[in-house]
Amino acid sequence: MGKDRDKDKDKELTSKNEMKLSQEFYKKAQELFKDYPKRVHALLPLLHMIQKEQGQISDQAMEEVADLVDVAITHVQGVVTFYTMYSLKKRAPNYIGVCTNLSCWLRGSKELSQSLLKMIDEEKDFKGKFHLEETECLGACDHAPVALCNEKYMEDANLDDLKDWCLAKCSKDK
Amino acid sequence: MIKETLVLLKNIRQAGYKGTIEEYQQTGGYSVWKKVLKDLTPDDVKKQVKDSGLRGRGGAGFPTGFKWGFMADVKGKPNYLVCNADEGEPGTFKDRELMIKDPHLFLEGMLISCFAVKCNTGYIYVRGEYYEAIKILKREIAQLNKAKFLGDNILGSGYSLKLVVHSGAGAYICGEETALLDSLEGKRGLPRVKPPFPAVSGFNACPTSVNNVETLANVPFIMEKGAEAFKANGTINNAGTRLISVSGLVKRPGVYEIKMGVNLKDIIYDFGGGTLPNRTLKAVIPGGSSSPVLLADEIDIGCDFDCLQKAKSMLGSAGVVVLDDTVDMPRLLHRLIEFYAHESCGQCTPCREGLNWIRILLRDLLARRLEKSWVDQIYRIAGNITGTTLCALGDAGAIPVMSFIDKFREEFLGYCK
Ligand SMILES: Cc1cc2nc3c(=O)[nH]c(=O)nc-3n(C[C@H](O)[C@H](O)[C@H](O)COP(=O)(O)O)c2cc1C
Ligand code: FES
Repeated sequence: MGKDRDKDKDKELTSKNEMKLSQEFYKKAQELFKDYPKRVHALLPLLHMIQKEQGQISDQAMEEVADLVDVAITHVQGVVTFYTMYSLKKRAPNYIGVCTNLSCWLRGSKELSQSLLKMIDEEKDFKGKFHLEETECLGACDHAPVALCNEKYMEDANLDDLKDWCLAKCSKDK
Repeated sequence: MIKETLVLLKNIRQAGYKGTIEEYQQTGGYSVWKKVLKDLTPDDVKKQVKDSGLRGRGGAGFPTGFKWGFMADVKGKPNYLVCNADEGEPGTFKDRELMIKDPHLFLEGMLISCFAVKCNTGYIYVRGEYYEAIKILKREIAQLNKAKFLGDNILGSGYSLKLVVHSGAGAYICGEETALLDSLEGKRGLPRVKPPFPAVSGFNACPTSVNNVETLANVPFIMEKGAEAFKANGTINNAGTRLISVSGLVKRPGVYEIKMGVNLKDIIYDFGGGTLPNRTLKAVIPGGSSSPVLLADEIDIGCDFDCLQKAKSMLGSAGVVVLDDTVDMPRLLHRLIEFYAHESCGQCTPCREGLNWIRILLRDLLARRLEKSWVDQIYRIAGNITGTTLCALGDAGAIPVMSFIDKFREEFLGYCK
């Protein structure tokens, strides 16, 4: 173990630097603190900012945030792992969440989510670009099935429209 | 043919209404807020809301005026009002409708309610996935600050108020009010032991009232037209209108506003347009996924808290989900229990373990691996969850299990060896 760690040390240091929270983040954090009686109350919004900026909440980020709001690192870890919108591992840059709860399930969302997974697997261009998830009720059940595409709802979703959305994202990235 | 009674959706039903502050003011919006600031005391507002009989629209139906009345005045501790906009109950989508399409109706209600409980910082806890609602609320709150309806010494009244929009991060349990408060404090969303109730020790250990979006959106009407006018819509003990979210296998899903007590069957057929072509109605879930299911011949009843309770179900969040003859009930229940088992916060053993065991057993059942006696065993596990947990999530998961098995036993037995 110890030896392996030494060997990886250089790599670790560079990746740590990459994960460092930005000056911008620290500035926004100061603004957020004004909204709450205690700094730790701003933990969820702070983590949202990190997740958005870095696509994950790394160990480095959790430690820096713990310092910033002055709580135990385990407190931050506990919070990050409790809520589904945060991830320890890096997520692909585009998010698609297909609701598979009650009303969407009744309207074929499970099948939709499975076909979507297959489609994204098969299209070479899509590789590594989309993070796919099944979500619980998104609160738009009158337009089932519903998908959350990054920060926008796609109502009455179907495979063709989802594919078009993915294609549009890919061409934008190019 | 029944018709909607428009109080909360009055503006939204106007063609072309976009919900800007200007449009809202053109319909008379914020005149009540000005009147309250100029002429009334917090106790006046509290009394009028209490007299109106308004009951919480988040699920439990607790009288709002009483809840506010319980708030202790503690020296050195500020009071808080926290709006529950976590809307996560499957089959419910009314709060989103209000926040997106007529944000100022809800915001005016929030302002008046904050004034009533003498709160100087109000929080709106919106579920994280509601990016659009969060963006709209933040933008419109900025407009309110600009219009001086919010901020320091509002319109010279001496009253100051700040509103903060706080985004959740994906956890159904944070809809439970004490879990929501923990989450707002930057913790995992774990329901608290009660008492103390939030009215005594809530956010940051200060007196706090947690109220649902729709509940607060009723307050401007009550303060404008009076308690009696509010009661005139509805039945005894069930004052006012109610937003019903209709979804599932119906022709016209959507949010509809009814006087409390309107017949559930009429809602499904007149508003929802009935079942899809060539299908027949099988069952209805009347109050969000945790309410006991009703059979097709049980839906000729009034939609209010008490009528549905008498029918051994509940109005809950008023999420009406329509099921037709193509629905396989054991499969649907399995999907629901996957949800509840996943969302259990894990503090209470019956909920954490029990729901997961039911999930596993239902999975086995669907794979036709179980003997008939297991159906009763599943039912028993559910029975052992109800009433044994800190919050109502355990019950919310167990209740559908029992009601599905009670009413569709043959379908469950049909999957057995
Ligand atoms: C598991 C669980 C989930 C809940 N989810 C919500 C929710 O999403 N929105 C809501 O307003 N109330 C929800 N509630 C009810 C709240 O605990 C609380 O009763 C409500 O916010 C009070 O507001 P009201 O009096 O205006 O209804 C939930 C309760 C439980 C037990
Ligand atoms: S069940 Fe999918 S949005 Fe509600």
